[in-house]
Amino acid sequence: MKQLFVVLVIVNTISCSFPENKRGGHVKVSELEDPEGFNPYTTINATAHAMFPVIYQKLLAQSFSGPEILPVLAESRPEMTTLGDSMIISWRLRPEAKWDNGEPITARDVEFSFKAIMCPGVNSYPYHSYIDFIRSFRLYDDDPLRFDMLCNKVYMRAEYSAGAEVYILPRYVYDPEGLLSGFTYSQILTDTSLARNDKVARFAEQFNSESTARDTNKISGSGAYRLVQWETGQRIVFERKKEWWGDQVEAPGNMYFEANPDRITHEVIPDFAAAVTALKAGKIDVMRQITAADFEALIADTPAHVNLVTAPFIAFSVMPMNMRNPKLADKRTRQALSCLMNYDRGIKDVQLGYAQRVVGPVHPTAGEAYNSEIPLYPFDPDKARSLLAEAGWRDSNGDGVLDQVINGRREDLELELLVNNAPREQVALIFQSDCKKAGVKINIRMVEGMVMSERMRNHDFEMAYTAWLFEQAPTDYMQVFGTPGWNGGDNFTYFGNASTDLLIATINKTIDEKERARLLRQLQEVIHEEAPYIFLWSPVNRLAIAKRFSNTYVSVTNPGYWVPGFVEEKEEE
Amino acid sequence: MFLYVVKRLLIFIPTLFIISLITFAISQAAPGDPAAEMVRGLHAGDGGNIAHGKGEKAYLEKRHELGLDLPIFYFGVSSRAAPDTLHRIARSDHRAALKRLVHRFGNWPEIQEYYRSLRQLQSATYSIATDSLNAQPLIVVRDAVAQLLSASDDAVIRHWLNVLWGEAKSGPSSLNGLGDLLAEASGAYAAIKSNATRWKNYIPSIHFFGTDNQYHRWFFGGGGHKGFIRGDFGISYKTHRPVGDEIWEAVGITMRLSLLAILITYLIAVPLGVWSAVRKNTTFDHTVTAILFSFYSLPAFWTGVLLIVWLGGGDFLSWFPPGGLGDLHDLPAEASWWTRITFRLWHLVLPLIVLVYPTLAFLSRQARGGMLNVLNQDYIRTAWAKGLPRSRVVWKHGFRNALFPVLTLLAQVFPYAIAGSVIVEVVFSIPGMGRLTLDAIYARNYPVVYTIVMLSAIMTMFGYLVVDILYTAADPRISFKSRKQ
Repeated sequence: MKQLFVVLVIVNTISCSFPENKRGGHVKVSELEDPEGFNPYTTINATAHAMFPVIYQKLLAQSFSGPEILPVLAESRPEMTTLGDSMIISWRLRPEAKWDNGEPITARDVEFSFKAIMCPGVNSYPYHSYIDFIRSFRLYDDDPLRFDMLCNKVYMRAEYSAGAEVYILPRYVYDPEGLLSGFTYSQILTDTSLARNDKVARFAEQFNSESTARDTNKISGSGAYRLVQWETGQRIVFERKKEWWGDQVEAPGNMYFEANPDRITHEVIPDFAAAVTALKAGKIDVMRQITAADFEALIADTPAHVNLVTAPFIAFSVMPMNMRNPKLADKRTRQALSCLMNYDRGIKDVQLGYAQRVVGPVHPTAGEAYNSEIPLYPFDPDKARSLLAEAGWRDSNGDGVLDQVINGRREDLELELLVNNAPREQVALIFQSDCKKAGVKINIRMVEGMVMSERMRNHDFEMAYTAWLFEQAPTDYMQVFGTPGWNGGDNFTYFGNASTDLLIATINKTIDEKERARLLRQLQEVIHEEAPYIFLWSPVNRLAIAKRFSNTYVSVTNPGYWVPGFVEEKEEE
Repeated sequence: MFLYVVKRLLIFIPTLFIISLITFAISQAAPGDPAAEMVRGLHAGDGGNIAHGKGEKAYLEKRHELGLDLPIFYFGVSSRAAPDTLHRIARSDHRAALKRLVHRFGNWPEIQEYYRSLRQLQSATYSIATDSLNAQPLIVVRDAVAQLLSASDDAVIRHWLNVLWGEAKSGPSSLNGLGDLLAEASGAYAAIKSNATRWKNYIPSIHFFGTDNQYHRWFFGGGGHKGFIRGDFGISYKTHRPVGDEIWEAVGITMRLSLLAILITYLIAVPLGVWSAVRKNTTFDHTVTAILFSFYSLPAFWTGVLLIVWLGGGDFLSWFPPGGLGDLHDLPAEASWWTRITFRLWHLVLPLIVLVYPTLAFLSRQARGGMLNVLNQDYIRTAWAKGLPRSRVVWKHGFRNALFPVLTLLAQVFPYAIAGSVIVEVVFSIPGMGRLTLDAIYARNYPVVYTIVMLSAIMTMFGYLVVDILYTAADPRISFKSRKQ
């Protein structure tokens, strides 16, 4: 991997030496697609989610300069009390925190936000499963800033899910008539008859309406910026609030209280070549997830005004294998296929060096939780051949192709790929050719994105080439590796049994980070042995940022930089 | 003429209806389930709780909201064995399995009973708490029921029923309670086989569903929607905005660009074609032909990228902006309207070049061909013989009669004006109809796809009507009055 961490250290060093007067300036960020909407609960688009933190705030947020979680609306990280099989998460809000109308942000606003998400009829389904372990809220009459969340289980992700997953919205803007004020969070969660309640239905209709997602007068949060312009498919403009409560907060090291540029514009440029030209022409200042080829071309001819940097990316290129397919049922076959992937060639020739090997689903940036003691699968066709022979693969008709006879028929393996994804196609062709040399015939089938996702969900595939993108938060592996995910979840491979479920469940309720890391290392060992996936590599985030900006907080945290922190170099007067 | 136009407009109605049916049928056959995609998690693997039933509830609500739980059309033609309520089964894999069972055994009441007993068994398996003794058997049992729900093959069904019996009999005591429900399911399956009425599959049957169906709701309205014919194009699955608003925004941009491109194309190609015809087989004719066909052979996406890289300020010249329509807020507030127009036009130069150059060859060939036919006519020779000036012979007597092929092509202008060009809009970051269409197709955003197809159809029909009327203007001999024998 190309000097990744060195570059990161240099950038962060540069970012520490910014001038005294940091406010002002205009940052233009390139986006590949439109954000679709600005309602933080009903919009699931990733581009929109990368923009939300300038408008809205959460109780906590992931730091851009380290693995820690920082308090934002909360005064400090919460107090977590475990009571048998349940938990209480106790919070207090910052007394300085205020909405745009000058009113303080209170526990009732937090409760309202959680009620809005769980309200029947509100299009916030993807959020439900993240927070429904919180069963009720306890508010305090004598302290409007204090509240507790009562949870029905001990969950290692509780703090993150409760604090860093949900944006807190102003009640006075999103529920001016107080339609939800007559119901508690607990009632909304459990009383199914509320779906037919007039007030609840009216709130859902209003909350789902276009205005909460598009109307610049209606979109309102406690963040430092307000949305002032959105030309669909062209640009989105945010303007710094003149009076922002965060300016009163002394929180050194907490980038969520830095809001320096006066204006942030996101230019929608769906074509990569056009975006690179715009970068070179100085029409945009920030680009992320630049393709490896474009990044190399930029390095070869770096524009004088641009810094090119890389940062780790919690993403994985993976090939799931359907373990219930008779051809792939034997783990030795899956291990053999893992030995037929020429990882180094893929990283060198396709990723152009901008990727690193990984042993399993835990990213190397996870520190102790990453099991570096597991030997990576080597590219070893001889070992693959012997594993295949052990698994019963023979060249039954002497045509040079190993086969297994399934239900009286000789069948080849099929690898599914997304259409229009040249790098993945290149990797698949390398894999196909190496497998052929070892006597394994792989047929490549190109499918469209939604079709592929449906086929994987229905287990109607043999091998596929896909990718995961995780957040830098504790990951719940039950969804991808637990047996409850076999039918309807994301466990496409049929990996798992009672003992792995128990291991994942134990990880999920282990709050102690050291112990959790130990268990995670154990899980990686099992996954490595069973080989339900070929873990190809983890790509890095390739970024270009105009040199006139410092304090960019280039990091692993999505989207890879913190635009409100940017400090623009002032020209000499 | 008036009657002719009215007749043509009346023909629009059945044509549109048929197009709407075809569009709707294609969308039904397309793979992918928009409701399933809409309720999926924010990002895989970061804490989504997948407890049984939760995801399904959200999915059912979403299907209901989108009207996908309604029958597809007013009626369905099937066999006497097939039920008229199959559309109510939400899971597509369950629906498919039940359909296959109906084809094999032809007795829906028994099949329905079997399905109900399996669902009951499934609920029961999820009501058993996991403990250290039953953890693995419970996984097997839950999976076996899930497999049964999507199975129709006899051997497969028997295999999973045997697996279930094995666990219920010899598994931990907590699973013993499943025995009765399992017996019910096994009995129901046996009843399917023993009471098979396969002959019912050979008797056709029509099921009527009334107007509360997906097609009617989309086209004529219902369930809170006014319907396509009343101008309610529905709500975009992706952005939750009215489709009309999305299309209105995009069509404005595309129309400006397309109409300018069409105007420029005609202004360049038609005179070039006419001059080529007049100077047939001269150096001018050959040169124009060679140049225009060279242009024609250049792929638009490649030329677009080259123009951006060379002229958009990247590596070479910085004459034009690299994309987009420009932000008028970048201009000073006191900027004149002329400054604003030129600012916008400046952004359109490169896209217009890419839109115009590939069409020049075809249109100029049509103009040249039409003109050559006319130049050989007697009345043109007479005009030359009378000593009329060249321009008068060519443009007044010749060109007017050579217009027909060019006018016919004009019919395509109308749908083109609203359909846009995907390549140009993507390469030059223009949020027009081309990009909207492409995104909508990829996202299975059917309300947007339906509307674009229907509007394109309307514009095509309108285009041909306008051209027919223009024929009469170009040649007074053409009349739409019916002739008496």
